[in-house]
Amino acid sequence: MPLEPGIIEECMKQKRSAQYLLYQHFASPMLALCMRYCRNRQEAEDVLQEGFIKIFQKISTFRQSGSLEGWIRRIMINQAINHLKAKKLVFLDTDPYMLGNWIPDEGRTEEIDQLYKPDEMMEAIQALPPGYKVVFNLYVFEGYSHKNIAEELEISENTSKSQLSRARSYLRKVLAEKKK
Amino acid sequence: MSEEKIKKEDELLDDLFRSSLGEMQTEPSAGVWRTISRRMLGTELSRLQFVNAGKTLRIIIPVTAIITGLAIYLGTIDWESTPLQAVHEEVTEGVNSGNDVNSVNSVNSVNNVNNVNSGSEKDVNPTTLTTAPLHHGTTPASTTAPLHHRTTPASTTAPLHHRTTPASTTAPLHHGTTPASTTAPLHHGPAITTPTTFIPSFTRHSTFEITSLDAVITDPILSGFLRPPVIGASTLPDPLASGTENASKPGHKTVAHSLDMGISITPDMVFYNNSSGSFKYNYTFDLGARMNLGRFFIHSGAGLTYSTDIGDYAISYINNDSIGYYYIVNAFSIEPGEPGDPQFETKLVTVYDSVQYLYDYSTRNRYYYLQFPLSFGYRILNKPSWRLSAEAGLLYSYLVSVNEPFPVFYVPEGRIIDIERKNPERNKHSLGLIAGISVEYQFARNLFLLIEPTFKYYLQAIDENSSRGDKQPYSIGLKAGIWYRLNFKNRIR
Repeated sequence: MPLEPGIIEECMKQKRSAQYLLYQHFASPMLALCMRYCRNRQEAEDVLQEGFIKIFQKISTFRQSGSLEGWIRRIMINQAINHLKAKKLVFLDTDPYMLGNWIPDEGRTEEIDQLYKPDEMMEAIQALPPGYKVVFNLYVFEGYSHKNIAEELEISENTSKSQLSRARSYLRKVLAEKKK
Repeated sequence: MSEEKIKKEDELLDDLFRSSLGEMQTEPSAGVWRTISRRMLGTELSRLQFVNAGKTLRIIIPVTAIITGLAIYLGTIDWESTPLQAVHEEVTEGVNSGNDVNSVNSVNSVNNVNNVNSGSEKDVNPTTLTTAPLHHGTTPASTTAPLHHRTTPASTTAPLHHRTTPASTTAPLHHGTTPASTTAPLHHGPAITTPTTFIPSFTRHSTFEITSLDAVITDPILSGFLRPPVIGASTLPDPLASGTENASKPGHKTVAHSLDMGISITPDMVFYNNSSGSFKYNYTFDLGARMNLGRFFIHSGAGLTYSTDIGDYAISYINNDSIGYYYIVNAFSIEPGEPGDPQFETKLVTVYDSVQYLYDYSTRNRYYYLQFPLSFGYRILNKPSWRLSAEAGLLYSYLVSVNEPFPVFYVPEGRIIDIERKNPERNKHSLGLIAGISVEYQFARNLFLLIEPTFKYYLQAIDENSSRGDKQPYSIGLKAGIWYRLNFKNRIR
């Protein structure tokens, strides 16, 4: 459903009814986005809330030539990353399974083209260590290159690559475990 | 495993997640928007109140400090060394000292003139440099008070009669009196001087000159505008100085009265004594009048107060929202090798229903009050250029205008079922206590600036439904205004 015309202008005037319409339009996809970066729904709703407050406060800076959804998405991602950083975002060099809970690597031969429930896949992402999670999300869902990710998170490109590789490996293992 | 295959598997995994979660949507709980709305309102209010308060205070505090500091500084300067003041004091001291009156040259000159020219004028009272109404043998200075016999006015405009001699002339003298540049009617009495800036100079030949231009300004109010104030040397007796009592007549005591009238504006920070702990601003514009009785005064007037508040509403509405989802099985397949593990092809179905929500809506209400203070005060410090006073009394408020906008709420896919107003209606009448300490700085003869920190405590709650003792607001404000003083004197026994 397209957004009603004039909503942005009304939001710039801080009209609550327009803000509510904007919220209604984008809240659901943005919550799903936030959930991929957080550990649970509650945390994701907190990020969503902070993100929308920032959106309403900064909407006057939005250039209407661009995509509103892209702008909102960008703010939500930044908010989620900041949320993780506030909780000491660490980019692990070791496989978390090496620290315990080791699941034997069943190898890449494991077929992953099975149908999984979305909530199962969401749980798998949410269970990722924060560093893996951020890199995986930015690369897979946002289409960032490793260079962009490295700039965004102020890490090296190699770190980004290794984090992505480990994230995939982790997800394969988790999904394989769920399949059993 | 080849690198190509690894890459392909990675892409498959990425696609799997992208297709499953990329377009995923999930409805946030209703509390999220409520919190956002509340936070936004709080942000707007804080921007409105505290940021603006900061700006206001950033202006008010230094201005108040500068004015107060200036007033204190000017009030403590020793102005007695000025020549004008020195002359003034010489004259007034001589007159007021009673027995030493003969040491005042001007008065002596008058007596000499009388003695020379009329000789037998025994009832001339030389102690005439007073502020008391003039009677027998007195001489007013720059005054329009009625004159009786044996008085000689200075700087009046009435025609002269007998026993007068124009100043700076060589005209023959009659009956021993010599007015200075005067055309006032003169009756039986001696020429006399002015107690203030009008300084006559007497000669042996019964003439004297006006040495100050002030003498030609006969209207005390007009002269106040035309002439800058002589700080420390009041050109008129200070009506506020307690004990402006004149010893011109034993048994009579003159208590100076004056009426002050002015306009003021008062920004008040109002604390509502509720759990929010925040305050709101009221702005009062008032016209005031103050009757001064020596050091005491009565203050009253009327003011219009502008007040704002938040109107809270609870809006119940029904919206068609998702309440969950389920999967339906489109197809399934059983692998021959794994008969006990069928593979299902499913589809996600979202379930919608009418869900009732409660939404907190806020409006900005505006109220106008008429306020009538009645307070009594006492002047603690009374310097020539500034004064410090304390006052306390009652404040009656009457609600004259209410502007409470009705909530405008839009539910795109639902309908509103109820709007409940949370704020009770405001009281029409309220009574409060008011107290303040004022600093007045006199920047012209009859004009002064008034700065007064005030405290108000309302004896009733502002709302009709609030129980007594629950929500009586109080406020702290800073009144600033310009006042005008009308001097007049009253003699009492």
